[in-house]
Amino acid sequence: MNLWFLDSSVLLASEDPDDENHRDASRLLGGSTPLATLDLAFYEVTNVAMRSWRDLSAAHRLRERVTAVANDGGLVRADAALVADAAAVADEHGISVYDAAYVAAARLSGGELVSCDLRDLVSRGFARLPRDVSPEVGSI
Amino acid sequence: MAKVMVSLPDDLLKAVDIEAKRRGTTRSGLLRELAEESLRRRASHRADRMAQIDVLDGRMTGHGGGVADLVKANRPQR
Repeated sequence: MNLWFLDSSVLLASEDPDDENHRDASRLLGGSTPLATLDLAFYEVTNVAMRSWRDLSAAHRLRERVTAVANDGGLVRADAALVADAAAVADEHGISVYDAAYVAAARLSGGELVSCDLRDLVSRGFARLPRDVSPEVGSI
Repeated sequence: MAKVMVSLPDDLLKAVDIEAKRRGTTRSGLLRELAEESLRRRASHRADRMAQIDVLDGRMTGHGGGVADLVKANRPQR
């Protein structure tokens, strides 16, 4: 049984019908494979909903989605060890510590990272796109 | 398949063995089934919850896409 570790872009894609990953992200959130994420996702999804979308209802739904994922496969909390791992990944691969934190957290949880970030995460082999992940892939 | 050692109280182990016999499986097979069932149940609750969230506060509206770039644009730059 797999664990899919979601970054904030997947949660946001599920909330934006205009996004090219919307359908696959929604399918993933409604699927039967366990999901987990990082506590940073709470801040990132709310930040986009409030600052870019100016959509209070979307911010509410996104908080609830993060909570639902946390109650499923878990919410990894950033601590000194995780940020140290993230800093090492960021330094080695030239990505931001934010992106690297998801990479490090996915490794820590034993899951595989799923992201809509083609440029920094998917193209470098750190994550899969939602469309490349079947909600039931890895099931028993 | 990995092999693991699990410590269980005697009375729980007895109950596990009775249930394994009832289901026609082994102790190991039953523990595997129960672990899978538990994880699937939790994932199923999450999936149900997502469907409820879809219609919280009215229907979601489009925001133009490009969410991965928006995440980066809203992160502190320094």
